[in-house]
Amino acid sequence: MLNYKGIQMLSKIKSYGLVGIEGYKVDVEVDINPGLPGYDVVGLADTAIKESKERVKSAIKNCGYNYPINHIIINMAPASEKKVGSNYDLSIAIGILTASEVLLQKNVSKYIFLGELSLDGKVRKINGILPMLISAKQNGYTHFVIPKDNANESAFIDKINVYAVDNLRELVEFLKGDIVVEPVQTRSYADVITDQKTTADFAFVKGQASAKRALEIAAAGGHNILMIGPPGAGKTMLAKCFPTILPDMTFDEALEVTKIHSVAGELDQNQGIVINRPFRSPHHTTTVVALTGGGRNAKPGQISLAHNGVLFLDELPEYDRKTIETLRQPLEDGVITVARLQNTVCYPANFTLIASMNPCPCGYYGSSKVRCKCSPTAIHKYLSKISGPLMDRIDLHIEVDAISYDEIRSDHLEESSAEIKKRVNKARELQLERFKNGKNYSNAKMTEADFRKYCKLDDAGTALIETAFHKLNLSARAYTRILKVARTIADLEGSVDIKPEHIAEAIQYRSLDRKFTV
Amino acid sequence: MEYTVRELNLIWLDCFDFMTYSKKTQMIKAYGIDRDIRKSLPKDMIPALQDFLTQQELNKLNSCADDEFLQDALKKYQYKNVVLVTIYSTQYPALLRETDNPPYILYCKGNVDLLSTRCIAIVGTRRPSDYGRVVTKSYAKALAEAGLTIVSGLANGVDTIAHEEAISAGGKTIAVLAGGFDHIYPASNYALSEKIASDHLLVCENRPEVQPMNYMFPIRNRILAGLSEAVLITEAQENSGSLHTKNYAVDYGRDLYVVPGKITSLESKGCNKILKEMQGAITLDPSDVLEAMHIVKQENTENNNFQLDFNESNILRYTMSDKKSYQAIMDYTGLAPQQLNAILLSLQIRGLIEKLPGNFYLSN
Repeated sequence: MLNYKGIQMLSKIKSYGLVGIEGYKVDVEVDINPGLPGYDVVGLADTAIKESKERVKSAIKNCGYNYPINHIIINMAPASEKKVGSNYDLSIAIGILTASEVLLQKNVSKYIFLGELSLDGKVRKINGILPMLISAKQNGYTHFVIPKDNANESAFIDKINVYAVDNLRELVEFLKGDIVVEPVQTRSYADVITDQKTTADFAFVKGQASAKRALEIAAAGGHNILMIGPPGAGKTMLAKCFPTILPDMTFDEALEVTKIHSVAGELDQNQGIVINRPFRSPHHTTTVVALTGGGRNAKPGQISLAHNGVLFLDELPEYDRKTIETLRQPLEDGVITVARLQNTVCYPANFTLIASMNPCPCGYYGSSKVRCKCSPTAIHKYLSKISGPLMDRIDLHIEVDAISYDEIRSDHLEESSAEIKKRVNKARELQLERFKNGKNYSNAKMTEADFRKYCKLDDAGTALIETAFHKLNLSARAYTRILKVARTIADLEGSVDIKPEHIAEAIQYRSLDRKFTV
Repeated sequence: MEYTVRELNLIWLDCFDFMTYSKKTQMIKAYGIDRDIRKSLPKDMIPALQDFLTQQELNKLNSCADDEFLQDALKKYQYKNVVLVTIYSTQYPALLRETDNPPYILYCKGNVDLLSTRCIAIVGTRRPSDYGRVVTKSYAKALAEAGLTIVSGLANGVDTIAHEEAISAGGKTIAVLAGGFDHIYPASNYALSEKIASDHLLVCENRPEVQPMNYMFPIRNRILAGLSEAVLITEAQENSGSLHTKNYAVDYGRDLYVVPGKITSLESKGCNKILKEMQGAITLDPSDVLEAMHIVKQENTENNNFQLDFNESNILRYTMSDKKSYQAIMDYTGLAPQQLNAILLSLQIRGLIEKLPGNFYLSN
């Protein structure tokens, strides 16, 4: 591609873009034409890309290269996809430098360039590096140039060469072969997982044995849980400890979580990968979009950020009803589809829901310490703020009461999260073995067929559940929930069969199905 | 069901909202009830009725005087499974008929024979304390088991407990409603009302479509007291609605039984106040009531058949007098949550212990 003087004037650079957490290749073509100096970007670029003109120009100049005083046309292919963000700065700059012969096309062809430029030529960090690298790797690309600040994020993907650069000049010299830049050293997930830092631990929660037990079951079986209790009972504290007893994320799970956090710009760049299970607790004034994801660019919402972790909704009835009802589909499917004018994006949203609420508007119904002032109608109304379909997706309801002063003061040693976690891990292993051929990996997400196969009862169990239904006014929807929870309890005990005592315990966790008020 | 002319007259008059109890009484007084009111209305009734009915109301009565109107109403009641027991019917409870203002018609749903059984009303606060709950339960159970029909008002609290306990003890119960059957109040007791309508008896003096209004509840209480041989108040606040029932009971000469409470307890203020005035009303045990009503209680041996193991009887003893939290039971017994949960549930199923809101337990 030579012009009439035999000078190369066209270059083609590879970069990557993102739709949701899936990447796609973007070709950045730069053509320098004779004519009045100008800079045109075509290919559905947004304002951030159009503004790159000034950043690229200054960066090239300040790194000591000549900015061509010609008409520059930049085409971003595929032209039909809308491109957003500043991560194309680096590829445009390299494109211009290649088209103006500072670099040779053959030296830059194999790389994918990602990064934003600052006026002095520094390459700045961008969001979404990890998902882009992963999908580029799947598409067979192996060489990447990324900002140095994103190096940690890229370190967990093996079999690719990632060059992390600090500034444009360093990059140009590297591409020319003048200096050597070592590829980013891969790190193994097993090494970093040990640095998990948690401030919460069940050892610090005094008393509350029944709530702890219920949370252990929830963690073991992936069940959603609702805690009902007066203010100050410690519901929030219990919820915060919950992630500490969940099994460690596998590498694949961690990558998925990191992808979402990277896209949302919430990734800790020092760590580079999310190793703690996410714990998200959006405030009750949160909007539908903030919870499920959306906005102009269909960003992930809180439920996707809680993927593979915990979504904690404190004071559940205080949430806008419309907002919490949107959880119904993701709770069932584990994904959320966010459809916007320009994008339709599918984000994973496989989280454990922990909700807490007061038993009545004043908060003290059934409390031993303070007298409740609410009328039965008010209590009924308060409880019915949570719809049946949503309640249907919550397997365990437990009541938590405030602990006494003596209990706070007691020196009694509570079990630590690590010990509980060991039992949870064992139960999870049983489930992984059980569901190894299916898509599902927890008792809570059992399909109808699995349910029939693995939740069989003996005669004593059937008799028990029948009497319980009649005596305790259980609603019909409780049936499968009880058996799934009983399955998890049996797993925790390492029992193959579901025994009557497992069912009995599971029924204890259905407070709201029983008549709550009299 | 065949109705006499007198009964049809009453049923027809009851179809109009403006025909209040006093207007009906006046009408019957002015006009008599043995003739067919509908047929003779246009000709000779008008002058006598103008004293208490407006022209508009008379026109309304006139325009609905055809057979079709009455037949439609009867069909509607039949369709809704509502049986009408008028004051002229032999099924009408004799005790109620003797009172000052007996309802002309009792709309009934369920087993109408219960109207002729021996009844006792159990009433009280809508928000009982744990003490009130226990007391109500034990009385309702004992009285129902002794063969008495438990009459109450289907309200929240004591009423609901009384109905439920009577049902679970295998006894009989009557719920007297204020509004019509189409408007069960409180709505949370809808399921209970269905159960009572199918195996027991719902009673109301209003047509099914009448909305419950707050003035109807005190008036309704006269039926509660009127139906029953005795009235038992287990727990009542200072200005509780059950005090109306007490007044009716006194007026009608019914036996009154009141359970005393702590003098500091808000929920027992009403009961204690009654007891200050009428010391003889005190009852300390269901057998007081049964003795006064000359009922010999059959010893129920069924309860003793339960096999209780050490932990179970331990828990029952511990939660006997006062409700205890889950945590307290756990600390007391030293059991792990998984074992304790299973034991507590099996006790609940056998009806030996009750789970109270807030994860508390109380043995029955």
